[in-house]
This record gives sequence, structure tokens and C-alpha cells, in this order.
Amino acid sequence: MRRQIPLLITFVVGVIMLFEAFIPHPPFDQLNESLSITFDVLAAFAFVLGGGNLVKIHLAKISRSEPGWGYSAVTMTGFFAMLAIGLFKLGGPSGVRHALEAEGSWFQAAYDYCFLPLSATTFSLLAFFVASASYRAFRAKNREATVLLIAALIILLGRTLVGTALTETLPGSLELLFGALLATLAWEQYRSKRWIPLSLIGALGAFVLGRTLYGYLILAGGGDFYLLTVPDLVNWIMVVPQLAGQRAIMIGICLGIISMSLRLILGVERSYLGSDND
Amino acid sequence: MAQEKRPKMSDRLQAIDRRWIFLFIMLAVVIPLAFDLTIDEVATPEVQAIYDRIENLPPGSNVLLPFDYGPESEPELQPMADSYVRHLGRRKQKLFFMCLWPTGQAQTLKTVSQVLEQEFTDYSYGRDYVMLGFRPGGQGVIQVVVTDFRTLYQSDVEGTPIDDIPMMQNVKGLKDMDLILNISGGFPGLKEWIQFGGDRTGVPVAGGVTAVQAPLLYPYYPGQLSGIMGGLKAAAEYESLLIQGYSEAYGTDTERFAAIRRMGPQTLAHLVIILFLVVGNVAWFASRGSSRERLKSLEK
Amino acid sequence: MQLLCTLGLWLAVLALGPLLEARDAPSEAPSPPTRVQALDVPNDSGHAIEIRWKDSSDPNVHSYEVFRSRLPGESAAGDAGAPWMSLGTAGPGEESLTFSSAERGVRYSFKVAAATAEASADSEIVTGESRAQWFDWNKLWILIIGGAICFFVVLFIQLATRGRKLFVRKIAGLEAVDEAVGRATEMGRPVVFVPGIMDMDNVQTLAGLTLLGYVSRTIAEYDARLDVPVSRSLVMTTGREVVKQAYLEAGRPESYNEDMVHYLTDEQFGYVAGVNGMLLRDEPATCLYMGAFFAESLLLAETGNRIGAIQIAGTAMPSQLPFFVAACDYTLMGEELFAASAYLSGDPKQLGSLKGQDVGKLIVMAAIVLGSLASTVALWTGSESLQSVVDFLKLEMFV
Repeated sequence: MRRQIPLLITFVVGVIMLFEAFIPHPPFDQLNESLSITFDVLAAFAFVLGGGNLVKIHLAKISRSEPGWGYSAVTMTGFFAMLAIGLFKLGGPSGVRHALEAEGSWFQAAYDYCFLPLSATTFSLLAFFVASASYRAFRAKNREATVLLIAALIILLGRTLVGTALTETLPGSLELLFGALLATLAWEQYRSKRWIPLSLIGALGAFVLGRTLYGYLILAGGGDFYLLTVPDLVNWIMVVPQLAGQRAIMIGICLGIISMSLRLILGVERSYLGSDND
Repeated sequence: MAQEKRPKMSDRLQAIDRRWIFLFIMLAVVIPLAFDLTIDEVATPEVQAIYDRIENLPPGSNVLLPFDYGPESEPELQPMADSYVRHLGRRKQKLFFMCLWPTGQAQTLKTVSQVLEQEFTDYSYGRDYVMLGFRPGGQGVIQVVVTDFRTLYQSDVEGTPIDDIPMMQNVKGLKDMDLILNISGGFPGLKEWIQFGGDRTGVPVAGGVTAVQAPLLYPYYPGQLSGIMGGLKAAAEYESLLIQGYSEAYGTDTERFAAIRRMGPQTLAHLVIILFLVVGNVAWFASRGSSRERLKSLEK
Repeated sequence: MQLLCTLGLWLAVLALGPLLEARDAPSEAPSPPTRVQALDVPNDSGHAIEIRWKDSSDPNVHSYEVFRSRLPGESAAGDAGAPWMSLGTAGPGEESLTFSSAERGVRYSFKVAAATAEASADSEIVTGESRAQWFDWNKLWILIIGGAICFFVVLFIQLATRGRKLFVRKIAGLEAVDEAVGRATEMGRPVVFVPGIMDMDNVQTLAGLTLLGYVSRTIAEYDARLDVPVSRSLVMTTGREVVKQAYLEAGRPESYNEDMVHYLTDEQFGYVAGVNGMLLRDEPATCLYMGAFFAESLLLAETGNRIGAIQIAGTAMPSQLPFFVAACDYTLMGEELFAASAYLSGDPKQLGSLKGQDVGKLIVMAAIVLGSLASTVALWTGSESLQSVVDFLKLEMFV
């Protein structure tokens, strides 16, 4: 019984919301909105549970003097201080009509001088963690990792303008680099006598070589033909392979959400409802 | 002796204490800040698109500015907010500020008091700009204001009834806006403004996000998203567009353009990361080679 | 008295003078817009009326202004009492304007004024009202394709219940869960499970919690320690139910403790600071991150990496996937997170839903191949019929 009723509610509301997307007529046009607001009201009330739990756990830690109880003491001090400042609107004009952030309120001061710098500090740890994580992760351990590493290097160069400077002073350098890469690959194929890949690589190489030579000749003649630059390459990586991958992941996610939602609506997936036994 | 030392070095480099990396990153950030190192930026098409859209709006258009971020992403996003307001102010547009994040209101106030009130003294509250403030409900708020602001916003941040604000007279819902220019640090943010705001009303949506989020939003550009700015670099590009476009006002004064100043540390930090990537890989190859040699010698 | 009358007359002449002069100006009034219509905008909840007119051929017309009748009791600053309200202006050559904030079922009157630099001319007055529709025809294809995918999901669930064997590829990250929990047991250290930072209305949180169910059953069986810090109160209450049920099913209800699932804060970076502190102090052997994550992904995973924990992450936030991949041992990408509970439970009904999902992928793949081919060939040959196929796919089917 304890599970049947929530399952029924999930089913009915789920089906209604499925149809709501296609029916603009009232009352369906307001349903999504009213349910979102209802959820927010519920979530706001539930905060008491969360806050209560926080207080309970940390007060217990302090009273038992568990290891690290000092942190709990700091947490509780902050919690009750902010609660008092917010509830009684200390420092600022009191009364329901006045904003919590009014001029001179302690709440605003706590926000500006504690919360803001603390949040920014935690966030800026990312700069350091990105560096250490990429140092470990970007190793040319196998073919896929090498492709990833090269793409990462190109994007990083493109983001620094060093890449722009490099390809501007040495026009055609990217083409030469690419040509060299193709030549190594072609040599490998030639040695293992794989003719089809060799001819494909050869054709690509000829195209790149031809394009580069053509570019030099026309450039000398003042044409508007341009050679590849790092920003071009960055743009291409972002707009073609990156976007394709991103879209594929997104399509997978959407299908996953459809299937998960159907499992929830049909009651096939019910472990989130918890126990049935009591 | 020398042969024994080399593999050790590469092994040590591989498992380098992360605090060394942290130290180098810190230096890369602190040095350019101390010496005020700046670099000129060239705008990418998706940044230029936003600039052009604002340039082409007729003066007096309604522009909605939802500021959906908090102090944690302020370094990246506040320069965008300031630039948008500077540009819109120069073009004499009407600004409607609101936020889906509770922390967004403080950020709005920052831009209004430091940019709008300082640089555009002819802008008056209620006639040229209004701060609608924060309403809880995430994307639900967008779904409501699509049809009517008044359902959720009976008054502005200062408690003035909406109907007493002159510039709200002819505004009912989102459809009465000419442009939605969102700045967001996560959820709900630009994606939600596209899905629930722009797509439903046909009002063009553009905006800025943190660099981390930007790849996620590229699929929407240029169809559902008129322009996109990702992170500090895009903010710096926009600032350089402003300096070029309004050189009589900003030509010599780069002090107020935070993103351009902050790009120095970012550029240097990227270089440090590139350096570490190269070192890490060289060390990895070296230690791979040496471990092969060691295996061979063991076999012997 | 006479003096007053004279004064009044003078004033009237003074006031009317400019008006009379304007009438006398050499320019003629432009020809008013013709064929004015007020039409209900279809496929909506009844809040928009489109006003259309025929562009006047007069080259002097520089704009059209559309007016609507004021409703009784409706007032606006400045021009209170005037019967007409301006809806906005349209440039020359434009032939429509939408009144987007109409009251449903109220009949409004409209008129369009064509204006030259000096004068303007009103059109005839038309009326129109906005109605709500019962079906949004713009979403027909979403209904058809979505319906087809749903149909196949339900079909395969049915087939699976009748005992049909279904193949599901191996997901390394999920295979590693048992091993990771076992390691924590051996080392006598806790397992930390983070169900993301979103609330219960996010399907990723639900996916995370269903996974918590399976993980905590394994933990109960091994008798390892579990720690679930959450950032939403509703997630806390639901998480407790899930863990309690898992301990019951594992036959160890006595090991269950309510405080295994505990609340920290709703604030993103406060939460990160809290969890990171826990990680550094308790040094868990295993960290699982399953749900919706934002900037905290790397902050958590890199700290977990530092303490040498085995880390398995799963999220459908594409922007956070690279961070998890870089810092964790295994990562469930997007759909794998949603497939995880089906995969781990081995319940044929749930596995059937994954199979239905694959049919959805086939539909999408077919559309991509068809669209790319049609678009490429249309570009080469300039064929209009093929271009119309591309336009149909782009503008009608997948908007």
C-alpha cells in the first residue's frame, strides 16, 4: 500500500504532464507552472528537515567531542549567526516589507565580506585542479589519448594568442606539420605494404601539399587565399568534432531520459520509493 | 651513474607533487597582475554577433537582462555584464534586470551602481531601467513570465508596484522584449532561457556563460542562440569591440575593462599548462623507454 | 463677462491655430492600409492576435502604427481615458504585427494607421479575439517520433517480461562497483556516495538515487561504512528511504543508521568545501559521484584522487564529463547513468527499456544519414525537390 499510492500518483501526473506538452488549452497551459511552484513550496518547507539534520549531527559531534569537533563548532556558529541576522534583519530596517539586502544590513555585509570571498576562493581552486588533473590525464598512452592530447594542445594554444602569433609569422607551418605527420603515417603503411591506406594518405598529402604551394604562390601574388592558422583550427575543432561528439552525447542523454522517465511513470523502476515493508 | 639518474628524473617528473604545479600556476597568475600585462584581443564571430545585434537594435528597445550567477563566477561573468550594460547604455536601450538565482540580485546591483549610475547619469530608474529582482522557481519563473510578468512580479526590488513604473506600462510578458541577454553561471541559465524563453516567444536570445559551459551551448548557435560568449576570453573580446566602436569614449581608458586586464594571467596560466603537458609527456616517453631497457637487462 | 468670453475665444483660436495650420499643410494624407484583418494566432493558449494589412503603395509612408481598443477599467499612465492604445509600429513593407498579451476570449477592436512625415491615415476598424486550441500542431512530429520511441520502449519491456533474452553491452564502470566496495571493506574505510547537487525534480538525481539503492545493498552485504552527504533536503529524505530499504533487503537492518545520509547545505561551493573536508579527514577508499554536477565535479574528483580513492562517476552533464574522465577511474557517460540501475538490477523489464532506447537511436541515425545525404546531393545538383526534403527535416520534423 505504501508503494501503491505513490506509484499511482507518479503514473497519473506523469501521463498528464506528457499530454500537457501538446495541449495549449487551459487548464493544461498553467499545469507545468503550478506544479513547478508547488514543488518549490514543498522544497522550501523541506529545508527545515535538512537544517534540523545539520544541527543534530554537528551538535552531537560537539557534545561527544569527536575528532574534528572544532569544525562542527565553526559550522554551528555560522549557521546560528546567519539565522539570527536573517530572521531579525539585524543592522537594516526591520519588518516584512523591507528587503533583507537593504542598505547597512548585516546580512548584506556577511554576503559581501564572508560568503562572496569564500565562494570565489573555492571556485578558483578549479584553476589549480585543472592544471594538476590535465597534467595526469593528457598522456599519449595510446592512439585515442594522443588525438585527445593534440586537440587539447591546439585549443590551449588558440586560447593564448601564442598560436596566432606562431602561424602568422610562419604561414603554412600548420600545413607543413600536417604534411610531416602524413608522411610518417605513409611510411608506416608503405613498410607494412598496406596499399589502400597508403594511397588514401597519399591523396590527402598531395591535397595538403598542393594547397600549401598554391597558397604561397597566390599569397605572393596578393590573392585572398589564406593558409590554415591556429584560430581556424580551434574553430574547426570546436564546431565540427567537438560539436558532433557533444550532440551524440546529448541525443544519448535524451533517449536515456525518455526511457528512464517511462520506467518511472510505468512503475518499472521503483527503488527510489524506498521500503515497502513497514 | 649518469645513466641511472636519467630514468629517476623522468619517473620523478611523472609523479611530480601537485603542489609544484600549483606554485607555477600561482606565479603565472600573480606576475601579470603585478606588472599589468595585457594582450589585444580579436573578436570571434559568435561574440561579434552579439555586438552587432545590439548595434542594430533601434534606440528605446526593450532588453531583458537576467543575471543568473553568483560571486563564484563573478571574475568571468561580471565583465560581460558591465560590457553589455555599457553598450546598451550607449545605444539608449531600456533595460529590464531580473534574476533566477538568489545571488543574481547582488550582482545586478553591482553593475547598476558601478556602471549604469556612474557612466550614464541620464538614465533614470523606472523610465530607462528597472530591477525586477529575484523570484524562486528556476526555469518555472521563465515559463510564467513568458505570458505575464505580473503573475510573479507585483513589485520591483524596492517594493514599488509594477503598475507604477512607467517603463512597465507597455510590457506584459516576455514577448514584449526585443532581446534577451542572459548571463549565467550554471542552472538555470542560458540553456533554460533558450528552451523556455526564446523558443516559446521567438524573442532572440544571446548571452554569456563560463568557459566550462560554453561547449554545451554551441549546438544552439546560431539557430536558437544569436550569439554566445564563453568565459573571460570572450568577455575581453567584447571589451575590445567596445573600445574600438566607441573609441571617443573609451579610447584611452582601459582601466575599467576588467576582462582585458584579467586575460594576462589566463594566457600565462594556459602557457604553464601547455608547458606541463609537454614536460609530462616527455617524461612519460622517457620513463617508458627506460623501463623497457630495464626489462631487457632483467631478461639478460 | 464679455471680457471673459473674448479671452476664451482668443485662447481657443490660439490653441486651434497650429492644428488648423497642420490641416492646411500642402501634403495630403497617405492612403490608409487596406484589407486589415485580426486573426487568432493558432497553437497557443489564447493570448495572441495577429493584425495583418496590405502594404500601402504610397512611397511616403514611413511607418504603420497599430492600435487596439482599451478594455473597460484598463488604464495607462499619461493617456488615461483615450479609447485607443498603441501596440507598436511596423516599418514600410511590413504587413503584420502580433498583439501578444491579449486576454483570452475578449473581443478587441484594431485599427492600423499609415503615417508619412506630416500626416497619418487610419484604416477601417476590425475586431478579433484570441482563442485557446486543444492541440499544438507545431509539435505534431515531436508527438509522432516521441510516441514511436515510447512505443518501442514499452514493447521491449513487454517482450522482456515474456522471457526474451536481451543483450546489453558491458559497462566497465558498473562492473567495478563491487570491487570498489570490496576494497573499502578490506581497508576499513568508508564509501562516499554523492548524488549530485540538484533536487528531486531532476531525473539525474533520481538515476543517482536508484543507483544508491544497489550500491548500498552491496555495502550492507560487505558490512562497509557508507557516507552520503547531500545538498537538498528532499534528496536527504528520499536517500534515507532508499538506503534503509537496501539494508533491509540485505538482511542487515541493524546496521542502518539514519545519519548515513546527511544534509550539508544547498549552497554549491559551501557543499564542495564540506565534502572536500570530509574526504580529506575520513580518507574514504571509494568515492561514487552519480547525478547532476556543475563546477564542483573536478573540485570533488581531484580531491578524491589526491587521497587515492577509487572513483566512479556518472553524470549526464556533458560539460562536466571531461573533468570526471580526467580525474576518476571510471565514468558513466550520459545515457549510461540512466541505464545503470537497469544494468545492475538485471531486471528483464528494465533491460527491455534499454532495448527500446536503441530503436530510438536507430530512428535518429536514419534521420541523420538521410538528412546529410539529401543536403549534400542537393548542394551538388541544386535540386529543389531534394532541398525541400532537407527543409522539411530541418524546419518541420526536428525544430
